[in-house]
Amino acid sequence: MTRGSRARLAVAAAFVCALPLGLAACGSRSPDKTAPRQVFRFRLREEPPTVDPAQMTDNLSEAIVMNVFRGLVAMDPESLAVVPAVAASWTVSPDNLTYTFRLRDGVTFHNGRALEAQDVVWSFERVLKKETHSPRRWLLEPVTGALDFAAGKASSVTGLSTPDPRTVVLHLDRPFAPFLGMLTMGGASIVPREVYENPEKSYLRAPVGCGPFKVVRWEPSSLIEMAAFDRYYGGRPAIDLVQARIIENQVTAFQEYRTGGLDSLDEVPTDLPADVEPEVLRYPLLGIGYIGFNLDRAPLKGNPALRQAINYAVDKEYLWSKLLPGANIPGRGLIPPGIAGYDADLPGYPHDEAKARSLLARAGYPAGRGLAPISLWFNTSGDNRRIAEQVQADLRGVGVPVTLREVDWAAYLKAVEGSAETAGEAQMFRFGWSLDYPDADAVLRPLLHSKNVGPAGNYFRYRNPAFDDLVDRALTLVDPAARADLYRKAERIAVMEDAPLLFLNYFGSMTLFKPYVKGVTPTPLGEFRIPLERLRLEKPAS
Amino acid sequence: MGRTVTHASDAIKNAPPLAIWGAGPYRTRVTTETRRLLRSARTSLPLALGLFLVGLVTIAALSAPLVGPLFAPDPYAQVAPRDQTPPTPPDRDHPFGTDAMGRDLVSRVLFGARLSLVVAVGAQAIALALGLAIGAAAGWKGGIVDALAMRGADVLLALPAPLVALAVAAAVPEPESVPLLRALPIPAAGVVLLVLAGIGWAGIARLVRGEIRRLRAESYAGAARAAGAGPLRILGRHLLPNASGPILVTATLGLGGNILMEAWLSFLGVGARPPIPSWGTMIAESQMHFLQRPWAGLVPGIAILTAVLGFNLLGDALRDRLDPKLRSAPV
Repeated sequence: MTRGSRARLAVAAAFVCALPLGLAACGSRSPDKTAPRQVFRFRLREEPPTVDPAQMTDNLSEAIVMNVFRGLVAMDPESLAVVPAVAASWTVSPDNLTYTFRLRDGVTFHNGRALEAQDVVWSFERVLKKETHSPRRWLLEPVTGALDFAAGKASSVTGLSTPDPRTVVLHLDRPFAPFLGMLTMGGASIVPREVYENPEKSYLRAPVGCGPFKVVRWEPSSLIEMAAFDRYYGGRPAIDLVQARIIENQVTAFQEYRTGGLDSLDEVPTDLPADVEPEVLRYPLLGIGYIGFNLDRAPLKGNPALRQAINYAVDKEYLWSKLLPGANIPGRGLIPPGIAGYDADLPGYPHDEAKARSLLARAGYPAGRGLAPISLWFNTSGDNRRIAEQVQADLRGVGVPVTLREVDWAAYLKAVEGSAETAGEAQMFRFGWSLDYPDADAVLRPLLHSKNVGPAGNYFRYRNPAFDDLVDRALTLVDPAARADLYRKAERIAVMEDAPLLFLNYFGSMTLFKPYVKGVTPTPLGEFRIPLERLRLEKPAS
Repeated sequence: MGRTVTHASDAIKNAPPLAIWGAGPYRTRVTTETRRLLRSARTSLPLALGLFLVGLVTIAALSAPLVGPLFAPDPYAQVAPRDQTPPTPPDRDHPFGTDAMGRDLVSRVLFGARLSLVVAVGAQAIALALGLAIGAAAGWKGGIVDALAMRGADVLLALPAPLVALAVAAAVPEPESVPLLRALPIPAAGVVLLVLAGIGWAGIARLVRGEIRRLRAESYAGAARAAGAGPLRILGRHLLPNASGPILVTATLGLGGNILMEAWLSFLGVGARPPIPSWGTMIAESQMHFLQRPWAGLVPGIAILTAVLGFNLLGDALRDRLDPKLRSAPV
């Protein structure tokens, strides 16, 4: 049988499984079970570039890796808190330098071998080793001696030890609050040495981990099949088989979803048929969209009342629910939902023209009199023009004149960034920010810390020592609650007092799920981090 | 020479074809010609339709500040109800519906007509002035003046006009910051106007130059010279009026081209910028909804069709009427 015909068979099998009547036929492949097999099919835009955790940097690879592998700790998809995984528990020394992980009993690799502390050491050393060329080496570089080992100056990592087969100790050079969170990333997955030492690299097509699913079939450019791992330490998943179908074309993928060839789809077409609308799952991602104010240029300079008036004048609700309906969530502040420090009680600036008018008067421009047109810059991309036009129209409603400047990306950056010393030309500018890691620091510091004024990220040229102090202090703390508290305080200062930007939206994502797919946990980590081991299918019985 | 024509039928009956235009006092000639044109519109469908469509667009442009407010306070006001996703369909309050930003399309298409006509006519007026001056100088003087002017025109005509217009318009990314243009109500439209004028003069100049070269050899030109008339008087009183037929036709046909070009440049984002109501930007903004909610694109599209068709029909009909060589029989 040729590879091509096998691939066609696989697709045919997927179709058969889509039919309720076909479930029994699929189930016949595991004759020991009476219940129909639960097959969950989702779509991948392309073939994942890699399934080696040490090489992974993209979300398509995550769709496989994060289901096949586990690290010492994991990130809870909802709270984004660090939770136990291979390690059942851990302690941190009072000086915040030594992390002691107690491994869970009965963790087994897909090849049947029990996981031991030595596997953790070997996996971490593999990521650090020069020959691995891992783009994720930085995850483990805070460990004492990691850099020497990586440079080949030492045969082992001094800060990495295993006092007994159930215990792993990591020692750091200096306290580093985000370290535990970094260990939840795919790069810090634990792999079995006997498989990943193989010079023929069979693991590139047949990865072996200790996660809830194991890869059982890989048809290049067509299908990756993952079966439930019976001896998963968290309990066998309810789904028997996961099929990641590789379908590049968005229209084809949507047709597959409609006709029952997929149970879930990551890309939602803009002109969605009304009957599919209830199947859309909208959830926040870690990012914000905004229109920045240039605080070094009049009239926005030194006039928080004017900036607040602009914030009140723009109808964010209408913008994201009617004008550009989609996954975006009307914005209230800086820290997106899902992150420790997110402030659900932050009032933000709900649309209120009366308030906008009175603030405008307080700003010295009653009904906009005496206000020269403010330039709003945006680059030619996506919905930017319509967003800018809507903002212009709303501001015109309260008397703030705005001229639009649509330019290409290079000219746009130049006008917005300026330099550390001099402000850019743009008075207002449309921008967005995606967090590099799930921590309030990843939005407050790069965007608004006075050290980052200019091209470093603080395009607003916002300088507030009280804000800087709170953000700096938060990074030295390890207690998550205390940190979150400082971030909330800092956000309140920036949002409710200084308003250095017009808060437009929190980023959101949309994924389609058939109504019979239950146990879907939307997560700000992205569509491919929705935990598959929590899913179950409640298809009507045949 | 010097015979006064008082009635069009007299002119047609008595005058040799080439002498009609230069024959009588200017005023009489124009009124009789206009009257003759309107009369012939009764029997010529293309001419009637052309006049009607051009009249419609002109009235739309002139009435925009009067009629627009019946539908929306101004063409920028978002009048669609905020509980609906724009563009909202046509209804009683907004007979053309609203656009993707919830703005009334009647108001926008009327103000778009203003912009279109001002740019097209303004550009053509400048092109006509330049073309007449350069063409007349080249045709009359000949020699080095002729060679320079005509090679310049040739270069311009050899380049594809839309690309030249696009390149020049795009080269002025910030019309608001150009001192001369800043004074205009819509600086970006000013750029388009000047670009169209800068391209349009070449064709007119070549036409005028050819006519002048042909007409200066006519005996009446020689007679005028013998009577002591200077070059400006001969050109202004005798030659240009005789060449005015083909010039008028070319200029009218060019208006339709200008309207199309203005819309095209705005569509590509180098003409009028949003939210200014230009037919081109209106079509550009309607694209993403066109399959499900097409009215936001159809309305400005039909407006462009109307204006361009009108000017083309009128130009063609004018050629039929005014070019003596094409005129088969008196109407």
